[in-house]
Amino acid sequence: MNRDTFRKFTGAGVVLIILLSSTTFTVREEHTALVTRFGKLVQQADEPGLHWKLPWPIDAAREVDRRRRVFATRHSEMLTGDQRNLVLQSFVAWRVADAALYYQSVGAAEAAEDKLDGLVTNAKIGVLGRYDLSALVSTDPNQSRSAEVQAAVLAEVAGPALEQYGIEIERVGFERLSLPQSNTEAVFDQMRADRKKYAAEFRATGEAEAQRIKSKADEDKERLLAEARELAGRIRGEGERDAAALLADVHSRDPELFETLLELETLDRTITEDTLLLLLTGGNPFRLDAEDPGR
Amino acid sequence: MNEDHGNHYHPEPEPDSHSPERDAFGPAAARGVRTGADGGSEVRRLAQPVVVALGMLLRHLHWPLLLLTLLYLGSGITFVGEGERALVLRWGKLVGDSPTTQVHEPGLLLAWPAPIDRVLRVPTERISQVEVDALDLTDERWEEINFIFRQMQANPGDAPDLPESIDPEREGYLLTGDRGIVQSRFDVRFRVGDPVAFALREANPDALITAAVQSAAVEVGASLSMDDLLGDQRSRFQSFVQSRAQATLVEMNSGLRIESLVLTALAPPPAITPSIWDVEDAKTEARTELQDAEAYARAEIARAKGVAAEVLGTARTAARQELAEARAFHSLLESFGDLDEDRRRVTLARLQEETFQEILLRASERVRRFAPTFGDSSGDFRITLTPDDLGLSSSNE
Repeated sequence: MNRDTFRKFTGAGVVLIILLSSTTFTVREEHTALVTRFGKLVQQADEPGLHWKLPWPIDAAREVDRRRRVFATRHSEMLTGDQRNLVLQSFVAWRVADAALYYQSVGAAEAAEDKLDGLVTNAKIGVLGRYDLSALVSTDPNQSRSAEVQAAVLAEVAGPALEQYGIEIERVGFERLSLPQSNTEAVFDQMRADRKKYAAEFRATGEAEAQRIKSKADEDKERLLAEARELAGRIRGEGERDAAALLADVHSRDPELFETLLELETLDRTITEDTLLLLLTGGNPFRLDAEDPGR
Repeated sequence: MNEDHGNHYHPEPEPDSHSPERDAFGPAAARGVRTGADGGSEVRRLAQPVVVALGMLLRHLHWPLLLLTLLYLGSGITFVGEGERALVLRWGKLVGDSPTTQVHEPGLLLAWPAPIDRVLRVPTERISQVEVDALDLTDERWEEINFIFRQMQANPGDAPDLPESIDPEREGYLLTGDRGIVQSRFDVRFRVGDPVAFALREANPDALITAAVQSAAVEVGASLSMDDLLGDQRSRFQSFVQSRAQATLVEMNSGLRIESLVLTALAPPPAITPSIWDVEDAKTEARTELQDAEAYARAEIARAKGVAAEVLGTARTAARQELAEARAFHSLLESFGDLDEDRRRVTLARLQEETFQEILLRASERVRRFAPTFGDSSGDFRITLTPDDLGLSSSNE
């Protein structure tokens, strides 16, 4: 290929690129392109890939993001079926289902979320009026209807959102369950009263249980000592009985020996270091001191 | 002569020579004269300035242009790092029919340059973090409250200046199953589980995680009592919130996976905190009282056992002693039984003497001997005792 031909091909290529860039557009995954011709919608491209159009300013392509988005609604105060005030804030997960309707009705995500906020809030007011507060807030699992309430809200808003705005609402959930500010004071008073009651119960229970333990301990102590004394008495009695049997045998066989031994035993036991002995020295064994009276 | 402003000289064509190129680029064409009968001449006429410019560019910059072209073609070559996965969008469409072909592993990835191919890198190993704090007071508010608590502890007698209500639009909390109020805060760490879902279907994944966790916390918190939440059900509450939030993310096919969910704060409203402290004090007092009572019980029982053992020991000792003495008596009887009368008398006398000796030695300090007057036949006698005889000193008479 000579130089001239190369230049021509290159030139043609550049022209082609310029032409293609103005007559094609790319649609990304989870996006839709809307093609308007002089402002009028003429084509909707949902499939991802390369698509054709006339060059600007004849045709203009606008991309609509169909990915899932999540936003939180405003806080709204509403009445439950049992006339209790509740402040609810929800999250809404949504995506564009009909790009053309979406573009025509709202045009942008912020405007769409504003519309959805109103839809969802109205639905919540209607649905919540059919349930008591205990359906959302209760320690009894048999009373809880939280999933049911959220599903009911979703069922109410899904149709209108799709028909009016081309939006598919995938999920509605409760992000905040609150009470109106004026109600929280009464809640605090109740919480304080409950805590005060618990504290008094703890103290009273502790005191009663402590007293019970002490009383039982005293009872057990007395029982132990009484049993010990009883047993001690039996032991002594058995000892004395056996000793008495032996002494009785001695007495019966030799009363004089028994008496003498008993007297000696008695003297030995009763006279201690502190005993004052007054002895007459006229007899044995002191008769040798008779010449020195009063010593 | 035609001159251009480049470096080349173009001689004028021969007036009589004809060629399509010369017709297109010749002076007649330069003057805007339509030459030839076909419409292609018109196109060539319109494209002429571009072609002329390109020709000049190619003549002067063909090597750099070639290099740039090669660089452009090579710009589609990508390196996918460890901890990443890559998706290729060709003219906006995901390349591949299944996850195996759609998701590219770490390494070299060959793709066409933009705008043909676009490579999306998804960090699948990176742990992202989000704090869910909408169910709690603001940090600034907590600073004010903590300052008040410190003042309360420093000056116990002063009445606390704590907020007596909560504006739900400004400060958040959990409503518990028994209509109590608790403030909570979560730290959530998550990662990408499905690169395709994450990269292509979620516009704001952080918002989805926050919504899933917060709604799970509201739902679970509304089924538990305040005392359970603040007491021994705290870890159960945390695990239930995580599992509920993860279930929501799975149901919505978000491609996100919660790695950990930690309850970083759980507290009653500040106005209730002094009451909570009082309950804790009451529990502590009750516990202390029970411990004291048990200690008393242990001590008393141990003491009683000791006394009982002593009583029994004394009784056994006394019984043994008594029996031993009786046996000694009996042994003496046995030994006396073998003696004749004289030996028996002598033995008895000796026993008496021995006993008196022991007694006198024992009471030697307190023995007083008195001899009766000889010749006095009345049989009466008088004894005079001094304080010293009685063991009394002059100081304690």
